[in-house]
Amino acid sequence: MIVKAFLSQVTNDKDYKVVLKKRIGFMYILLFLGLVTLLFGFLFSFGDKPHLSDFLSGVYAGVGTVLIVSAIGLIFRIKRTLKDEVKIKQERIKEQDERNQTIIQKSIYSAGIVSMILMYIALMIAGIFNIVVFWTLWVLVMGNAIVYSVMYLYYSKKM
Amino acid sequence: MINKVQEYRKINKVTQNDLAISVDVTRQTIISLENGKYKPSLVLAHKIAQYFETSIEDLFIFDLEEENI
Repeated sequence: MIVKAFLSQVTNDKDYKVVLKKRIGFMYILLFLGLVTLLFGFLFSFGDKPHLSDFLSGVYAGVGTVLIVSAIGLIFRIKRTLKDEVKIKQERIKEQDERNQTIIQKSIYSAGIVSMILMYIALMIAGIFNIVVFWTLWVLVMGNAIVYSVMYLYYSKKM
Repeated sequence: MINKVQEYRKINKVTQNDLAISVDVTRQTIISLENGKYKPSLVLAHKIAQYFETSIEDLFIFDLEEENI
């Protein structure tokens, strides 16, 4: 559903409207995630380590609020776009423009490589201070590598 | 690769925006294309050639040395 809501390649406004409607569904999931994050923030405030509880509570509350506000904003924006045929065409062209898509793909690729390097460095440093952080980062680095390998095989067969 | 998109556009008195809308891309893509900063996909090259009622070979000229052909 997420893939169809964000990565669909459509060639006409009628199909694009369907994609936008699916996207609204995903925004409601984001809204729910925001509420859950906000709830976590509230629950963290009752932790037994006050300075850590306050910090984590603040982080979760902030992230939860951003998710909720973003989801609501995007839902309104998509609904407003759906009422205007000219805007639908403009948004479709802007989103599916091949140059824009190439820019996004290259940016994600570069960010992915830099993230992997930074995570690896963080993993090395974390190993000296905290084993839990070390294993969390280890899972992230390995998970990233596995996902890349799987997707590479998938796209190799598909294309 | 050299392209004659701007030349054809001016001959046919078409704005960058009109061309962009007709071939389903943004105006910025047409600008980058005309400046030689962006190489279009085969589909986009074909759409532009069809719009100007010409062939891809007339519109886009390969630099054999640059493309290592």
